[in-house]
Amino acid sequence: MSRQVDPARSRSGFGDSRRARGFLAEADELLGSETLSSPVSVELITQAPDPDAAALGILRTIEALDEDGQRRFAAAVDEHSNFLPRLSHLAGTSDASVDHFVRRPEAVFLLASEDQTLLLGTEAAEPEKLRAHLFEAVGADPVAEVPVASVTGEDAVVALRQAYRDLLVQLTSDDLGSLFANEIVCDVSALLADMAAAAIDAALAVARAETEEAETVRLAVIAMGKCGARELNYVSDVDVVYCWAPVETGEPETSDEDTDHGAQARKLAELDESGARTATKLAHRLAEVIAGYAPEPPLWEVDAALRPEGKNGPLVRKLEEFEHYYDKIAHNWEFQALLKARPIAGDRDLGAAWFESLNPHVWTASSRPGFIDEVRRMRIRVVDLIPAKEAKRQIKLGAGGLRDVEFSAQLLQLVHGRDDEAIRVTNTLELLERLGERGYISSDDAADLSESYRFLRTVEHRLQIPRMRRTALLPTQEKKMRALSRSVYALGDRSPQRLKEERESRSRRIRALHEQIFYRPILEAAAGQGAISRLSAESARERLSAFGYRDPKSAMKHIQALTTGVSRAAMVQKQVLPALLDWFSNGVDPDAGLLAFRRLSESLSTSTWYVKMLRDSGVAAKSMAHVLSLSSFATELLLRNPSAVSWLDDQTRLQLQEPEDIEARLRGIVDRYGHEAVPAVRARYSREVLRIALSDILGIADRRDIPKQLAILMDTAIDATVRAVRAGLDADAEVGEYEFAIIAMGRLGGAEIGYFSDADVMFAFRSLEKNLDADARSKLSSHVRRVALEVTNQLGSAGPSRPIEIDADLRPEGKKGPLVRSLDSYAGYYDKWSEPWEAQALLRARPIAGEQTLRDAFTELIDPLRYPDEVPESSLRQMRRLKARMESERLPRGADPNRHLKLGRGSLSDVEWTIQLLQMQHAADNPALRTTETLAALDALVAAGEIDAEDAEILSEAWLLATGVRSAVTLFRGRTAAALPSDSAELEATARLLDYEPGCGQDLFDDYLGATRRARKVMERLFYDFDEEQAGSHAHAANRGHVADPDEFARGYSRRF
Amino acid sequence: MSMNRQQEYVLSTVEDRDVKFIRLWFTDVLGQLKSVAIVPAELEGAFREGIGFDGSSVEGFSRIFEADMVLRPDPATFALLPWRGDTEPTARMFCDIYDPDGTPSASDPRNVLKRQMKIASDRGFTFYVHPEIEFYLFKSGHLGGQPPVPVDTAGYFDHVDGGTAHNFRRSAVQMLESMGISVEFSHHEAGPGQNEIDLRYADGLTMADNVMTFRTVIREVALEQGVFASFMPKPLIDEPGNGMHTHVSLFEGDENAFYEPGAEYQLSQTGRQFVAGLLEHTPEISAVTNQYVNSYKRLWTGHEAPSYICWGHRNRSALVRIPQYKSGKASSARVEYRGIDSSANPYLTYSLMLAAGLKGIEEGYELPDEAEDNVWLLSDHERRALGISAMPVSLNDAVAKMENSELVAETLGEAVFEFVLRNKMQEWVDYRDQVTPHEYRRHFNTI
Repeated sequence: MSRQVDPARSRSGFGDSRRARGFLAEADELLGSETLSSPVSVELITQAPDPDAAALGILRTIEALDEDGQRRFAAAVDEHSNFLPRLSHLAGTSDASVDHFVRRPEAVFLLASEDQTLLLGTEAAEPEKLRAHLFEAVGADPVAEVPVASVTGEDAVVALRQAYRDLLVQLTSDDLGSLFANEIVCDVSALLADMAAAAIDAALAVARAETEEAETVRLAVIAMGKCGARELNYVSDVDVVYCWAPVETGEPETSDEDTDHGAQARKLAELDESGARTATKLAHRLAEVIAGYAPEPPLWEVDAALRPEGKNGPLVRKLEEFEHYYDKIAHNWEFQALLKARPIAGDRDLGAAWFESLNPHVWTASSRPGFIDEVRRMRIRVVDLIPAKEAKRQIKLGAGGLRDVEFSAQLLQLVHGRDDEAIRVTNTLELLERLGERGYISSDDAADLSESYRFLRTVEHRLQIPRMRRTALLPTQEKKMRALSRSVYALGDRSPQRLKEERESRSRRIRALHEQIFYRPILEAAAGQGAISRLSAESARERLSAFGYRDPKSAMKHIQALTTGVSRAAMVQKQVLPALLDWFSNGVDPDAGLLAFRRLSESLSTSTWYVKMLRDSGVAAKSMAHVLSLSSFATELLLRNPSAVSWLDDQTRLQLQEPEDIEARLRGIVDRYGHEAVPAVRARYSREVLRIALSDILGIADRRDIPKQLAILMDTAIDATVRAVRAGLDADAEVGEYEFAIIAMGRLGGAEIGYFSDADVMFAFRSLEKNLDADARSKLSSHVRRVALEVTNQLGSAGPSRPIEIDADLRPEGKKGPLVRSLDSYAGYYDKWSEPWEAQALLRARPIAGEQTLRDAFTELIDPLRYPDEVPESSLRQMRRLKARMESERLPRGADPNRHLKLGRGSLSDVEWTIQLLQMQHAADNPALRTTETLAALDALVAAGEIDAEDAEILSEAWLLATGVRSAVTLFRGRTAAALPSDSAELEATARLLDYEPGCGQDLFDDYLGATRRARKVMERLFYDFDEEQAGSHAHAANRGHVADPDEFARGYSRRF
Repeated sequence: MSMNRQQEYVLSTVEDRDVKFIRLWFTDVLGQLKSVAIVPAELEGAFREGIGFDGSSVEGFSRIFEADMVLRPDPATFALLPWRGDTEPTARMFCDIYDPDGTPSASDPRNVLKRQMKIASDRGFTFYVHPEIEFYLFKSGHLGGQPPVPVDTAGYFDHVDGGTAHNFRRSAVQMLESMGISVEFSHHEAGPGQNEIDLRYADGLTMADNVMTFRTVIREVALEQGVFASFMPKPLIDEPGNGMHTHVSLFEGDENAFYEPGAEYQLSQTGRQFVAGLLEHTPEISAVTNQYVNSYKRLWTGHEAPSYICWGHRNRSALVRIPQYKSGKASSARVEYRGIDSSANPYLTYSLMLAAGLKGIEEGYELPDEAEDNVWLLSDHERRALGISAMPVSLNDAVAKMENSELVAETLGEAVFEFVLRNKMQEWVDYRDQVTPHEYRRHFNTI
């Protein structure tokens, strides 16, 4: 196969032909020949990735040689047909290699050889030979038990580095000269790792020669990461840890007769300390020899940051200390680093002991609960940390980069390697192969990943060779990109375009495989296509279980049901399920998510839009997975309104609707359907509740707005229902003109309800007829009673839509009093019964339905009651006493007062009562305080200076948290919630719904208890008027004690709040 | 799943030594050692899945999750119990406690300390502890309405020829060393029958485990020798109480963060701030460091117990002492906190000391002036003028101070915090309900 000249380039082959030819002519002059300027040579040199650089590099090399050297050079060109091609290719790719020739001119003659390769695949590349070569440079005996260099100081540093670089140019030349670099990339990486190991070992020999008392310690160097796995880059930090041990002297212990344990221990400790000091010195010096300042530039960094405790930990440790650390302290991700560890230099026995002891830790750790989860989260974080600007050019860390392949392979290894020792290999390519062989991924996928990995690694190497710098970023300059693509492709099309395209398609493949690789074999196993994937059903279940599925058997059945058959839906589900399974597994209850998806899919599988959405919209599918795995409330509503799934494809449809729009729409329904409108009103209501729930779960709405949104929605639905009912009943009633209103109380009155709140209301009416006789009055009052009952029934009856439970028990006289009262009757009642607690309840009264005039009249009637000019001391006492009694009596038996959301310590009712007390005391003078809403009232109290901003902050934090927890638990369970969950899965789900990071349920628990504890303290001061010292003991008395024989009155009262 | 080397070592030792029982040790919130015994056949399962137990039966454990909890033995703490001898060899391991879902239990004191050590390590610090533990040896554990009778009448540093105390300490030290706990020093203390044993420094977690083991060893040795050991803070009215003076230091990697050559007492800025944090937060942590009604009788009846919150260099009445140490020996720079008594739960105590000290470092607290005088001899007004405040005077006082402490709530976690408050308040109430012999003596015949 002949090499083609890049057609995109000038005919001469050089970028700047005159300049390049000038270099060659000059070189010829020095050599006293005309060889280099000859057409044959020019043709050859223009094949180099950067021909201009090649010409210059050749000239620089020749200039550095003395006369004798130049003669040898001319001879080498003549005698060795490989010499000039090698040099020109090297010089046309790697300035760093030319620099080496300039510093050490005789090294260029290493290229003069007839052999196929200079180093790669030769005997000289064997680890022991490499080591011998570098040891020789520093005058150390490679077979000595503890080699010590005879050359020291700067001489040793320079000699070692130059010897290393001699090897490096040979390897680089072999690599660049290969026609199929992808195929040897694995060998190149392994050789680089062996060279690094040899260099470190030789550096240790130098350090030993220079360090006092070095003979008293043994030191083993263990490589982690790429060097450990023998897949090193040209330039990369070499990650190491150091393990030391004292040299056993064999001296008998001087044993005193009465052994002083203290003294002996102290002596041992001192020995330890001095040994550790010596070992630390050795390690420091070793790193300096490799990477410290010297006339010959550093090789690469020796990085010990992966050691126990990272940069804060001691540089060297004893084996016991490693064991202790990995037993007790290490983070999960640190075991991942351990996965690739391998002793590479120093004391071999100690290194072997280290490996034998520490390596099994990985497999113990990987069985810890949560290990796999944490490993996966780390990966997500790493991707998030890449600067967005670089992400596209990153071939290592970005999505679809090298790290994705390494990570996928490693994760599978961690899951299955616990039981299958055959896949406990460190090298990524080898691991991929084993995973394929053992059926953990399909062999096609394995081959595909392996090929992409080799390609990207080759590109990475080619990026590093020019200046021997650590980089994995594609260049932005066109010229550099061209040189890069020419160094990647020795044959065929060598254009940057080809490189870009291949790189993109490889990354796409990796991304796709990365998402599917874990689950695709499971799908196949579920379908019984074991012959293809060879992943046994048992391994499939194990993998599901490792990824959080608690009932892998059922999960397999669901997967089977979803993917069997030839329907369009089944085909699409087969495509999307791997990703969905992954998302479910990141949720709290993967099993529930999968089951919900199955149910939803079964009801929607015939809808074309659904199938299309699943296939095309990643966002919609991901949102759906999130909703299904976190909220059974939303799931149930979705199953009843499957078409709402389409909102997930268009986030604007999840924006909360304006109240006016909803009202207008419901009004339209009532106008159209008259007295038959209620089912349609309720259907609409349900859909809007679902919309709110979805935007809550997906974090689209501000969570603080949700309770109010729900309340306004309920207001509107009730108002529409009243109009529909009256449209039906009023026509033939013959009761004359009258007004009818519904007054919301409690949480609905405060416009802060949850997903399952009842509507606490009172009904009021007023006749507009003059001089109504007793008969007409009684007829009207039985009519309005019918209206109220009908509204209650129609909203509360079972049906396909969500009900609204109307509860009028808070009306005057409770259940004994009339269901509906006239405005006059309310006036009469309040006149007689202006008890302080009654007034407190009215603080939350808010008319929500019926004629505006009656609503206004009602408000006017109650304002003087709830905002009195003065609250007498006796009333305050009564309120405080009631509250105290409720605390001891209202909590359900066995409930934990610290976790109860409504009546618990420092939770909703504590905060609300405090605010209400202050409102009653101050709202008469300050109309700004006249609001039914808790937080609005609190803000107004701060503005009015009635409460400290700091206290208010504490109260609102607790209130918001309790409210948030209540709605999150409800969303997750699909049932009401009275307390902060004690079940850890529920707690986790609640935390996730409140935007905590995964795994932070305990943090929510602590935050909640802390916030409510602080709120309780504020409440005791502001509501009970306790001083700080008193507060404590009272709190405990309140929590512990029980009030004997509470009177009927208080019991009746407390039921209402 | 495979076993790690530690676990394998434990399994093989159990077999080699023909161990009959393995005790799984853990500690309740009050610092009582709890033990569940298993037989060797259950050991592998215990490593794999842990051992379930009913948390509701243990003080402070049942609050959060009502389900069963799981004990996971820590193989690195495996040791044979020397007092069980060879007839029925028995071993022990400390355990971590997990909730059923696999998260470390919030109410496990060991986990509280692990969490705090982790916070320290995130800031680059390792916490080292070296306690001096005092205890009394009495003739019998049965009181029969009389005060306990000490085994001897010796005083501080007395060497009692062939006396019980000497024999006792020798076998105790041997036993401790055989369980891998190094002893620095041991001697007779000031009170009759009172002894002190100092443990060689270790990181906080290891030391907390060691203290738990220590108490058990001491009790066992006492039983063997026919005497009774007590760690009660103040067992005898007229004699000194049982303190647990605790030396602490922070290391940053290899460097002692408390050491600064040339600084006053070689104590670095970090060290000064750590001490300032300890002093500032002492009142609020004392319901843990001095957790019983009886603890305050030790603190407030002289005998060099630290009743006032101050520090000094040579001052033996100060709460915190900056000891003299060999110059140039950077690693031994440390401070001695003298408030704790021998009944404290070491896990929670170390957690709070560390948290208080770190707070001082984080917020850059200023260390108050050194107290040069014996603060006991100053008048109340003098002390106030010098800005020296007092330790809580009773458990009730200590609980009230703890109740308002964000530092303690955060460090212990809300669940443990709440439990400790309730439990200690209850203890105070129970104590208040007593009518004591003292009251009969004083009032019965006169009123």
